[in-house]
Parts: sequence; C-alpha cells; structure tokens
Amino acid sequence: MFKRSKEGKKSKALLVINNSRKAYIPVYIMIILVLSIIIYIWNNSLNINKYSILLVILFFIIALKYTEIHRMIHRWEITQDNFIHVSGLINKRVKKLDFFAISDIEVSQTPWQRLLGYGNINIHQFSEVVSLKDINHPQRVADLLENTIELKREKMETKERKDTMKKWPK
Amino acid sequence: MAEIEFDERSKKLNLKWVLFFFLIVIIFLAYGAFKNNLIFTGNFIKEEQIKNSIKINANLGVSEMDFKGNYGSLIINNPKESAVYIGNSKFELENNLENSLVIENFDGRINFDSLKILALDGKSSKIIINKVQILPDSGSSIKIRIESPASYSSLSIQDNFFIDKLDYTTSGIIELKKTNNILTVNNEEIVIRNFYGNMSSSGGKFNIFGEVSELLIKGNETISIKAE
Repeated sequence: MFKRSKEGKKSKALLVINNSRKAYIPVYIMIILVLSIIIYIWNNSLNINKYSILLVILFFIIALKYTEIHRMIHRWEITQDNFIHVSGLINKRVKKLDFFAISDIEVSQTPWQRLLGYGNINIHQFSEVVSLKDINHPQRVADLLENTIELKREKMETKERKDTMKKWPK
Repeated sequence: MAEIEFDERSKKLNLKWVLFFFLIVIIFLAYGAFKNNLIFTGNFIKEEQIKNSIKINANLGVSEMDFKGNYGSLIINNPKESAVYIGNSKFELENNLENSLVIENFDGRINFDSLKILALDGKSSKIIINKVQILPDSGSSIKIRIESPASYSSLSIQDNFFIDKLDYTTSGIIELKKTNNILTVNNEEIVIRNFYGNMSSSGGKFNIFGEVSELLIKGNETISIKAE
C-alpha cells in the first residue's frame, strides 16, 4: 500500500510506501482457520487443554509480529533528493540512498504477486542490490522513482550549466 | 554482487516458520479435542465388549473420579453449595432444598469424589432441575456446567456408561457372574478394562453394575480374570 504524502509536510516525501497486506494473506488465512477451529471446539463443548491455549496465544503473537507489527516498523519514502528507508517503532533507524548512486531499477513479480498486484523492486547501486519486498503496484513505484531520479539529474545538469556560464568570461 | 534487504523479515521470521507453528497449533487443538474419540471407538468397542464380557457388580470405595463421554442419563440427588449454569441461565442450588438434577443424553465431563462434584461441564438434550424441564432453545443440545464444587448425596449414570480403563486402589466387594465368585478387595489396586453398564456413587460407595472385558486385582497375589 502506498499513499501520497500531504503537501506542506516537513519530510517533503513524494511517496510513502508500506508493505502490501496482500503479502500476508496466507498468514491471515491461518489465523482465520485457527479461530474457526476454536469456535467449533467451543460450540461442541470439546476439550482444549492449557498447552493448546498457550500455543494459540503464541501463534497469534507470532502472526501479529509477522504481519501488522512488521508493516508498522518498515516504511520507505521517495523524496526529491533521495530514497529513504525508515525502520523501528521506538528505536528509529533511517537509511538514505542517494539518487546518483542508483544505476538500475528492476521490478520482479511471481505469478501470485501479479495476480494480486504487488511485487518486489530491486534497486541496483553499483555493486549492491537493495530489495523492497511486497509492495503494491511495484511498476508504478519504479516509474515514479525513475522519473524523480531523471528530474533530479536534469536539475543538476541545468544548475551545472548555469554555473559554468557564470564562470565563462564575458 | 552483495544484496541488501531493507525488509529483514525473511532472515528472522520466515513464512515457513509461521506455517510450521500453525501446523503444531492445529495438531495440538485437534489432539486435545478428539483424543477421547480416538481412544473410545464408540459403539464398535461397546458391541465387541458385550459379545465378549463378564457380568460384574462391584461396591467399592470412591477416590477422585473423572469421566468424559456421552452417557444416557446423569442423575444427581441433592446437589448443594453451588450454582448450575444451563444455557445462559443460572440456577442457585439452595442449601435448604432437596434439589435434584437429571441430565439426559449428557455429553461432557464429570469429575467427583465421595463428597463433592468437582467439575461438571457438557451439553444435554434435556435437563430436569427440581422437576422443571429445560429444553434447548435452538439446536439439539443445551450447555450445562456447575459454578463451583457442589456437595451431593448420590449420583448415578445410567445407560451407555463406558470406561475403557479404571485403575485405582480401593476396598470393597466385587461380584462376578461368570465364575459366581465374590471377591473381597482390601486396600488393593484394581484395574477394570472396558466396563459398560451403570454406575452410582452414594455415601462414599462407588457401585458399578454391568459388563467388563478384564478385571485385575493386584494385592498380595495378583488375580486376573478375562472374558474369553
């Protein structure tokens, strides 16, 4: 899921991206199955031992960590100057990727991801590849990123040209 | 080429692990819910046991008993010092009244000792409490449970009472029809296998009347009686 940032915000983010909930569908199905079994057991007065209850609680915690908490603590932002990864809830970690360091952008989708409209973006940065996994509309995000980089480069070139013109003897 | 994943989930908490944990949870839930059905194979065991059994009438001491299954009717006389929940309604078991509770087609668990019913939880097709009949509002069964341990004067389970194994140390008299023997047990361990019949508990005595496939008494000498 991604949403456009509101104008006038200090961050100046052009786009804020979160993980797609579609990637968590298998886990959501597992949660629904466990809940259905518990309702069935409850309705039929069948036995649930205490170890099963503990395991179910632990499973819900793990599922929550894998889905919603994971989604909350990872965020990507495309700004006019760079690409930012923000992680953490209490302890925040911000990692910036300069546009000029990006050499190539690659979009990959499995058949399942294509069906549901999400996928991965691999950002090539010289000898490194930075992967953004499970984001909605990866092609549109990649296009926006490319356009922003292009715009940034054009601006830089224009500025350099102007600087050179200024230095040129009249 | 080095690969950096901003999303580190795959390294720490993989979907495979979540799936593995999910399967463990399902196995535990299914085992907990259906283990009794796996041990008792329902009517098959009962029919086999009737074909090949020894008639028994035993009056023994009561230790803490815990039975779970589907029984014809459970009758409790004079339950007191607690309350019973039937469906969403609560019925106080007044101490000054001669209460009676009849639970027909009881499917659940009963745990009791010589003085108190420690736990009662299950469902029934019809409940009669102090001569008032209660039927399910919808569906075929109604839930019943007791709030806290309740004292009782007698309780019995009639029809369809089946125990796969009863093993405890007790004293009393066991009468066997097969051999026309009366065995006296004096603080000895008895093992009864595949009992089918009626049972009652009253005044600190536990009576079973029905059929068994095997009886074992482990005292100074071990007595083993098996149906042919």
